[in-house]
Amino acid sequence: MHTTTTLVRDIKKIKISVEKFDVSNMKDIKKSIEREISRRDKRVLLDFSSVRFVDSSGLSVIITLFKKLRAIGGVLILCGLNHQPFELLKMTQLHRIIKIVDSCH
Amino acid sequence: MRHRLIIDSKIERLDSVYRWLESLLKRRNIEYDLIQKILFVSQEITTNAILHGNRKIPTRKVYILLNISPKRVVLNISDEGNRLFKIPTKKQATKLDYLKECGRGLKLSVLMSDRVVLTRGNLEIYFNIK
Repeated sequence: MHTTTTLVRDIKKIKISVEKFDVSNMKDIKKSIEREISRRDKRVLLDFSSVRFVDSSGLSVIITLFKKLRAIGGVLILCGLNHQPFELLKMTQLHRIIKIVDSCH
Repeated sequence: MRHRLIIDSKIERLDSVYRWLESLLKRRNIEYDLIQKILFVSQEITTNAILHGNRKIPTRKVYILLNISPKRVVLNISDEGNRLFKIPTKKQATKLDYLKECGRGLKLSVLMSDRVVLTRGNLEIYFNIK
């Protein structure tokens, strides 16, 4: 199991429980996330507190999810970002368009 | 100091490259931020070598050479394929379409390193130590 899902009020919180979110597990994680999200879920909080490393494949999953939610008027929020994942989002300018919060609680 | 690692063309082997590099770079007291950049670039280039260079044929090898000197870290990654590809310039890499879902790895590698040189299938990536 790469993800754990909880519902807090109207926010679906999905915790990614891997240290490295990369080409080796991105397909499984993408499937798990997509399974958890329905059209009614307008706010999705992705908990990255366990993730130490994201590569371009992991990044592509975040982008796909962001676009899907945006298309249905939803919002993607990332929380608990460690150094490398946050720096990667900054370098790709994604931190400007994807909402990022410190705390996952 | 030079270090060498040879892996089979399997995605599962990427983690061993990551651990190997992380351990060597930490032992040489390389700055944390630079280590993260080197790990990202090595992951992208090695993935590319496995998937596109060696076309996931497990018997084909990927060769990773790490050279650490006081002023810079040089990573040399080569595979057994014969594909042709172009390295984007820093200027091209800066024009990154961040919402495009593929082709981002090589551009990010160029942005995160100080120089990328392609010679006869070998990719040599330079990182200056400040």
